[in-house]
Amino acid sequence: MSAPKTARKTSRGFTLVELLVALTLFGVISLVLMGGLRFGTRVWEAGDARAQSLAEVEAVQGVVRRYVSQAIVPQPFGRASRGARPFIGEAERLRLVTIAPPHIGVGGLYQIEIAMADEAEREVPALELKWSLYRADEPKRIEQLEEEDTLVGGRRVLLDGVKSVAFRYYGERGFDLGESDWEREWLEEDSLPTLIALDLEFEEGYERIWPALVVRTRLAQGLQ
Amino acid sequence: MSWWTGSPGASSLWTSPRPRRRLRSSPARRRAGGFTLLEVIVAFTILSVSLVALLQAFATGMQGLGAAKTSAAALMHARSMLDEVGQSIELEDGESSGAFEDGYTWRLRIAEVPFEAPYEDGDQAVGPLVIPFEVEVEVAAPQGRGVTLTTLRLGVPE
Repeated sequence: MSAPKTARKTSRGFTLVELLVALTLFGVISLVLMGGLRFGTRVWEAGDARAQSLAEVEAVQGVVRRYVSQAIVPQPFGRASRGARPFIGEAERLRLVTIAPPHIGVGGLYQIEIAMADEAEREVPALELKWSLYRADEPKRIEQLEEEDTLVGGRRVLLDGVKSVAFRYYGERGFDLGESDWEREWLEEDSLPTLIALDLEFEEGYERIWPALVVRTRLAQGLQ
Repeated sequence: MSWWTGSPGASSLWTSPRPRRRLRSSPARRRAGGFTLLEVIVAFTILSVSLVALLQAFATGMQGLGAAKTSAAALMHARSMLDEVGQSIELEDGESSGAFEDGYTWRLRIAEVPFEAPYEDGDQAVGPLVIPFEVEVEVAAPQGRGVTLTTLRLGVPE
C-alpha cells in the first residue's frame, strides 16, 4: 500500500525538495530580473543625465555664439553714455552690446554680460548671463539691474558647476595694426576683437564636456 | 496500477472511465497539478531571452546616445574652428591636422576655388577683387566618429 500513499502525498502538496527547488528557481529568477531592471534603470538615468548635460552645453554654446557674433560697437551718444563702456573684455568677464532676439524682453539692442555668478548668492558656482536694454542716450547699467525686471533686463544662470571661466580675445589692436594674437584682455574702446573664445572648467562631479568655444564677431570689421 | 495514476476519486473528475485511457492521459493530469520542470525551464529560458533582448535594447540606446554625444561635441569643435579660419588660422591653400585637448582630432583643408573674373579696365585685365576658398573642417572623436563641415570663405588677393 505504499504506492497509493505516495501518490496521495504528491496530489496534496509539494515535498520539501520540490518546495526548495521551486523557491531556489524563483529566487534566481527574481534576482536576475531585479538585477537586470536595476541595471537598466541606472543606465537609463545615467544616459538621461548625460544627454541633458550635453543639451545644456549645446544650448549655452548656441546662446553665447549668437550674442557674440552679433556684437556691435555703439557710437557714443550724448553725455549720459560717457563712461558707460559698452564693451568690457576681461579674462573672466565679457560685456558687450548686441542685437538680441525678441524673446528676451522687447528685442533690439541689449547690453549683455557673461561672468561667474555672485558666489554669495549661490551654493554652486555658476556661469551667469545678465542682460539689459541698451539705450545710447541713457545706457542702463547692468549693475542697476532689478531682479525680476525681465522686460528691460534680467539675469539667468547659464551653467552650474562651473569652476573657472576664461575669455580670450583675438584681433587687431588700435596701436599695432596687422599684428594679431590671442590676448587675455581686450581694452580697446572703439573696436571689437574679431574672435572671442570662451574656455570653461567644471567642478568635480559635473561630467560636462566643453569643447573650446570660438566665435567670430561678424560686425567687428564693418564698424572699425 | 502504478504509483502515478493517483487515487480513483481524483482521477474520475477528468479522465475517461476506461483504464487504458486513464493511463494515457496521466501526463495531462500532472500538468493540471502544477508546472513540470520542463515547463519551468522553458519559461525561464523565455524570460532570459526577453531580458537579454531588453538589455540589448538599452545598450543600443546607450550606444546611440554616446554617438550623438560625440557627434555633437565634434560639431561644436568644428564650428569654432570654422570661425577661426581667416582670422587666427590663415586662409591659404593647404591641409593641416592636429588634436584638441580633449582628444578629438581635426583636419583642415583649404583650397582655392578656380574663379575667373577678369575685369576689363581699358586694355588692362584686372584680376578678381576677392578669391573664394573652399574650407573643409573634419573633426573626429577618439573613437572614430566625426563630422565634416564645408564652407566658402572669401580672401583678398595679395
